[in-house]
Amino acid sequence: MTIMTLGFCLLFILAAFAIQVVLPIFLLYKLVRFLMRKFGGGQPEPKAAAGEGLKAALERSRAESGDASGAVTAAPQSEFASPAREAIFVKLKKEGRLDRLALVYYVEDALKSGLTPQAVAEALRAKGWPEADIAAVVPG
Amino acid sequence: MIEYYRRLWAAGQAMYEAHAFDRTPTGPIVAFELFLLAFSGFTLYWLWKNEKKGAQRFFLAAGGLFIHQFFTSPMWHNYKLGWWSYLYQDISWISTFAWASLIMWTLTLVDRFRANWPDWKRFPVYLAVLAPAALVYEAILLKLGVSGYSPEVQQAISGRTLLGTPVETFVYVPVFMALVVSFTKYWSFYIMSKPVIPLRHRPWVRSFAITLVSVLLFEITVEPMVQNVGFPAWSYIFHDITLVLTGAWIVLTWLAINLVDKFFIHFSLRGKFLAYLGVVFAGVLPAEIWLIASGHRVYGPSTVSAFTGLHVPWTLVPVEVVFGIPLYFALILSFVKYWEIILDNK
Repeated sequence: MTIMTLGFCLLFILAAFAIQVVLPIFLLYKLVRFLMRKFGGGQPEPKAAAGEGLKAALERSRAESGDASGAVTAAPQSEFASPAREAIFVKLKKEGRLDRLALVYYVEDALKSGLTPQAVAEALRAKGWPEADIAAVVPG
Repeated sequence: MIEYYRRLWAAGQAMYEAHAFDRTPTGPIVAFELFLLAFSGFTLYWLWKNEKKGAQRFFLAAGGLFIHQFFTSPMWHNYKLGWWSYLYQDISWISTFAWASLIMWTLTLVDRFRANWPDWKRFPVYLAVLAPAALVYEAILLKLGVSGYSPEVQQAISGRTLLGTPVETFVYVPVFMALVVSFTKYWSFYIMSKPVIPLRHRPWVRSFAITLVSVLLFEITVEPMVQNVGFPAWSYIFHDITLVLTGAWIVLTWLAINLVDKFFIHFSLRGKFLAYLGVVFAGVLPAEIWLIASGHRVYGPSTVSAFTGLHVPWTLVPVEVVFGIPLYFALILSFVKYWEIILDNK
């Protein structure tokens, strides 16, 4: 048996193991997590302050993350650690405002990349987003 | 349990031996491999030191290339590179890294020297630089006796050559490069957290046009791998490419992209991409199972000989086809989405 045959056999067994064992467990884990989230068995959701509007909640979360300029310092959209920010996303998801949630993500990323709030608002306007949505998510 | 893995090991060994080919390198081939390794090593080091997320992007390009090489490997041979060079059957990691280096140098230099050009304008420049370089590389591999084409490819090509390579390479290389460059760029947007503007109104017609171009071009380049049999005569547009099947892939890809973008607008680039792939896979796999069972889809002898012989349980579908579906569509989806993103984020 050459070293390449050995390598191929090992890879073959690893691939079989990954497909037959790891993948089903991973999919099962994802399904359980999805069901727990869906039917409320998961961790308690962070709460937004009562009656707080989206704009105010965003401003508060930006202030909490310590960035006065409005640019969010935390990394990509999936890694929101701040409870205030997490609460905004949960609220928007519950309300079914996924389009507005997408806008919030975009604004966070755009500000982080160095665009000014004015440039971000202009870009959104150019894509036909209503002024109410822009005003709610763009700082200033 | 141990007995099961012992049998799996034996199956792996039998498979490896069933796909034996000449791996013995000549002196010039070893010298060329050393040159490619040095070139790739230098590229990786330079990117790591000088470019933002340069090393990650290098591996992205290599990943895109590997997907393409894995999917299209039955179309050509890649022999005599030495036992150390092969990753899977006759796919060589040295060759994958060399291609990745070529792509990364092109992207980096064009992006640096044409920084103020919009992305859509830079894209043809990438291809204009890459295509001649790729043709020279291919000509060297042919001259060294490393590269060769399967009988199905030889039958499909005209026989005319230019610079020592078949003239069809001049179509194949830009298409192949367009797909891999798009894949690299799309995932670069993700790893570099590029802000991608969400669209309030989906441009369905534009999206259809891009999908049509993408699927059609890729189908033309991989056409020798499979025969589409028994479709209405009017539907054949080029060799055995049929409007019925290609049209179905175009519509499915187009719908997957637009529906995911509409209903999962808040997903990240990665989340959306996995959702596109999931939708497409769920549509294509049953179709492929039926097409193979009904004899409408017949894989060529070279493709069949590259199969390991394992089938999806209770079907006639080789496992390579199941892996091939997401690989094929990963490149097409990257191309379509990359173009949509650069047109929407000028």
